[in-house]
Amino acid sequence: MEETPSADLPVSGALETAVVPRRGRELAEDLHHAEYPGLVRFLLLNGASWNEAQDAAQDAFTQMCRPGTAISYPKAWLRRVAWRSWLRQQVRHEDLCADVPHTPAPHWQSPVHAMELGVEERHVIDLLLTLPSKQRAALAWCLDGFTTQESADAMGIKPEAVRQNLARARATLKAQLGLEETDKTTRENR
Amino acid sequence: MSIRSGTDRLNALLSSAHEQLGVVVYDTLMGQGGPPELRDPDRALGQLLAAAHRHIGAAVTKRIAQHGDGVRASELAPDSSTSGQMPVGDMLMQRPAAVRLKYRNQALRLTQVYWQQNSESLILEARHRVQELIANLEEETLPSSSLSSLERVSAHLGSVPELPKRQTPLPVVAFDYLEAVEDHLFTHAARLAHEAQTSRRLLNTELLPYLCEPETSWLGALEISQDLADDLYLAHREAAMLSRAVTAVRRASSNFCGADLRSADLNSAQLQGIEWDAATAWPTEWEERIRRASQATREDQTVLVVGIEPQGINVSADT
Repeated sequence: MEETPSADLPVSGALETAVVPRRGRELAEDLHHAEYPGLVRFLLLNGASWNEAQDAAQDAFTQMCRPGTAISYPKAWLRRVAWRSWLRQQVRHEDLCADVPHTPAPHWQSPVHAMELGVEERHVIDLLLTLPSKQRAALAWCLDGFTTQESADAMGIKPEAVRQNLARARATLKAQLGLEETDKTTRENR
Repeated sequence: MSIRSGTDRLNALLSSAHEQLGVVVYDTLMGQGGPPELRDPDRALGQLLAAAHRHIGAAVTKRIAQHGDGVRASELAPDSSTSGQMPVGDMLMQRPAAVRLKYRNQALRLTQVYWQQNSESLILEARHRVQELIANLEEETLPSSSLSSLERVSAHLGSVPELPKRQTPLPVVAFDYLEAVEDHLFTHAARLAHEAQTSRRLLNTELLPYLCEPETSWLGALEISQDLADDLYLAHREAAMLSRAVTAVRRASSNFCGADLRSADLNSAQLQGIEWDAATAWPTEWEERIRRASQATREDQTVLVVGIEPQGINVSADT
């Protein structure tokens, strides 16, 4: 199984400290209400729609309940499993999703259209969602407070690659937000 | 603005967007009633099973309540058994009319399998012949016709069919209508076959050879004949029980007086011979056809019996 305890993230204290592995079922009960919104936000920033994020978050908690699951770093575990679940949704056939269950949903699917957000914040998220997927993912992990090492382990890439993706993402955002130009102007004015 | 301030500005923007998005997601989720319930597979299965159990219980209670009046009436009937249990024949009548109609052909076919001839009258005749023999033996006479008469009795008993092979598998509990029907017939047919074979064995292996011996004790012959008469009494009783069971199945397959058949599928059912009355509810599209194809029975003018198959009726548009 992919999400075995041995594959759990060996992070060094940034967001989660190493604890004795706990049974997934107990963790799910403890964390469900507290972590669910954060998990949905993480998936939205990765590019999931509202419905996809909800499905993937729910799926991650369901997998957490599986018998025999023991987890040391539950927050990272949940994000990684939910992210994979969302990726699996992307390759499903259309007809498998034909009967969408009737669940109450907000009037927006992407946070770009969430009128509750400020104009500036929506613009930032809009730009963030146009980044390449790895840069988007690296930024989402970073914004949720995970270290480069944690992100690298979760994404299955080297820490240097995470740092590179983050740097590129930030550079692109800076350029698109006009923050670099201001810097140049400042230097020229000196 | 310095490079540092550009980076700080980006960090501030990202942090603000992240934080605000968190608030929006939280508020939206709470607006929907909070995060969806934790979907623990074990708990979900438990809930599904509990819900199914509850619904089945409610359905059974409702159905029992619907038939409650009928059940109470049959319990109070004078011919119901002393143990308070409903006779099986009545239980068949209690099955939903649509089910009785659906399996009518198969049920009637089962009666033919288990009641190929009138075993009751055959065994009754055998009893009469053995009673005549006993009367002669008591007078210490043995007319020459007695032996040939007993051979005919043996032939009669031999014609009682052996137990037919079950058409439906032996059920643990006969919930299925056809299984209940066959279980009802099989029980009595098995007893009848056993009693008939016991009687015939006694006749062929003991009584006939004993009567053919040169020195026969009248008392010994009388004792064996009495035993045979007792066995034949039991066989006759079982034949009568089987006859009643067959009648009950035929009644359950044909008596639809007062039945609600509005939801029944009549296309595949054989309707000829069905008895019904004014209280029977037919599907709207069938009512007129069945009314035309039916006539009153001789015994009771309020009961109608379906004659020729209504499906075969083609009414010309000109008439």
